Formats: sequence, C-alpha cells, structure tokens
Amino acid sequence: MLDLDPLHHIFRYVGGGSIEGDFIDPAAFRRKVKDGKLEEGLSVNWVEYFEKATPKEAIAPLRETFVKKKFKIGATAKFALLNVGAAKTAAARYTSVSIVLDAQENDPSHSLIKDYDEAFNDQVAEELQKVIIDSFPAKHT
Amino acid sequence: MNIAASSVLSRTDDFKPAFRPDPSLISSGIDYGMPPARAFPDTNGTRTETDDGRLIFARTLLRGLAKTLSSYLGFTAAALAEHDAPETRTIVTNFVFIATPPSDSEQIFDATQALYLSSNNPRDRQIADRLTALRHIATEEEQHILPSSMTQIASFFLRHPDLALPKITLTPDGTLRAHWMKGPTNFVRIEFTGLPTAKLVAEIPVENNSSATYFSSQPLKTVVSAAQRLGASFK
Repeated sequence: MLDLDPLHHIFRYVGGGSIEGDFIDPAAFRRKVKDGKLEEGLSVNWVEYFEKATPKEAIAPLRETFVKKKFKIGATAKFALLNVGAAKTAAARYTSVSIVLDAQENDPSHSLIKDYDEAFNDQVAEELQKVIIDSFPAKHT
Repeated sequence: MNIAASSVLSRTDDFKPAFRPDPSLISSGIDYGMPPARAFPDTNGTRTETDDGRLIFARTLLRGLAKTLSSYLGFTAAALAEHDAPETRTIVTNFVFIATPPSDSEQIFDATQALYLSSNNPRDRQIADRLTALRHIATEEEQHILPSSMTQIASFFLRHPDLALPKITLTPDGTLRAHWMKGPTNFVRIEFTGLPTAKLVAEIPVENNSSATYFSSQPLKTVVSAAQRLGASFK
C-alpha cells in the first residue's frame, strides 16, 4: 500500500450523531469492532486524488462515490478535513501510525489510518480530532 | 346535536389514558410520578370532571394494569378475562403470555420520558431534547443506539442535578457520550457503555501551558468524583 504524502489531506466521514454544533466527537475517529474484531484501519479518503483546486470542491465527487457504494449519508453528517502529516504527528504522542492508500474498485480514494495497537484506539482518536482543519456538510444542500 | 353523547368519551371501551400505566411495572423502574385524576384530557371542551369520569378513568387504568401484569406474570387469557367479565367472553387458547423484557424502543422511550418528567430543572428537558434528536439521527442514518446506554445516561443526570448541560453525542459503537469542555485542552468526557463501568477521558491543564490526559474505566457511581479528583470541571 502506498503511503500518502504528508503534505496531502484526508477526509473522514463523521455521522450526524457524533456532531453537536461545531463540535465533533473524537469517537468518530475510533476504529470500530466488526464481527468481534477490530477493523484493520480507520477509513478515510485521499483528497488530492480528486485533483481539485480546493478540498471543498472534492466533496461533490466524494459524495458521488459514497452514493454509488449505497452508503447512507446523514442529513447532518460532515466530512472532516485533516492534513496527513499533522495527523501522523498528533497520533505520535501515543504511537506511530501509517496513512496509506487502500484503493477499492468502487472507491479509488479510499485510504486507511492503520498499524497501531488496539490499546491506543481511544488515544489516537482524541489526537486526530484535535487536528481537524475544517469540516463540510456531507449531504448535498 | 349532543357533542358529548357522540364523543369517544361516552364510549368507555374507547377511552384510554393519555399516558402509560405505572412504568415501574413495565421496565426501567424509573419513577414517573402519575398526574392526578384531574389532569386527564377534556377533549371536547364541554365535559366536566364528574365522578363518572373518574370512574371511567380508574376502570380503564385498572384494566391496563391488569393487562400489563398478566403479560408479565404469564397469566393465561382466561385469567385476563375475569377483569372484563361483564363485557368479554372467555376465550380459551393454547397461547401462554410470556413475560418479556421491554423492547429497545421502550427502554429508550422510558429513559427520555424520565428526563422530560423530571422536576429538577430545564437542563433535564434539554438533555431529553438532545437524546430525542439523536434517536432521529440514528434512525435516519440506520445507526443503533444501545438502549442500556440510553437508560444509564438518563439515570446519571437524574442522580446528578448539579452538573452543567454537556454536549451529548452518539458514538459509532452505539453508546452515548457526554462532554463538558472549557477549552481544547481542558475537558472531561463520560461514555455510557451500558456496562457497570463508564469510560472516562479527561484532559486537565497543568503547569507550563501543557496538559495531562487521562483515559480510564470507572464505576458509573463514582465516575464524577474520580474525574473531580483529577481536577476536571463539570461546569
């Protein structure tokens, strides 16, 4: 898997339940347990893949990708924007992490934040939330 | 035309109380408090609260309680029929009513109702509003709220009337989380896991403009005092 450039950016989809006003719950950055096993990595999307002038312009094609995957986008959900290098540095307070491209057929910008122990799941999530640069409504308005 | 005579209030079988019977018989054990008999609705604006009205109300309420008890204690349909003897024929079936725990939606409903009915302060109503909003978001996003987490958060705030209104979120795991934040490096979060222990995260400023972060699991009963010992503020 290809490591993302530290100067590049990632979007993390955050469900509406994890948001109150401008506040985003760090728990939105926790890896989830699926079928009794912690998922391999935290799903994010590589922003520069879309080759747009601004991250905001990348939202529309990313939303299309989610729709094609039949992913239900909540009315109040957001995409949180983070810098790759800043995210790795923030997580390094507790552990090193990798941020790698994990392209899928129906989601070519799909990436993962991975290679950190389950014991640091909460800690890494707290640190990632602190380095959110911006957030954008996920649903078309 | 006699409106009262044709209203549903004149048909005793149709008249149901506007609120549910004693919830302690149903599920969570949270004491709702019952409105006085005087409070039941005067739907057509002409009915007065006569003794007949109270009798209808009491009879309906007793019937509801009997049905609730019968379904919980596994009474048969024949036993239930005794309560309705003059009006209902006894039906003998092979079905046995089995005691069932409250459904997820009943638990969630009970929890928010307890907060709405709290005499404490407007804070509890705001919390109930927020939990209701989260229920709607969860439904829309096809997400699950852990009912035991909902019950815990309601009981927690009823037990702690002195805590300020927090931000409340739903985690992707279906648990509810309360956040009291004074700043980006000065906050406390309690996650209601549905288990006897809650997850506590606190970041507390220390000397030299730095902060210390704590992650721990604490018994729900002592989580507030544990956070306060760390220097966390719930204001």
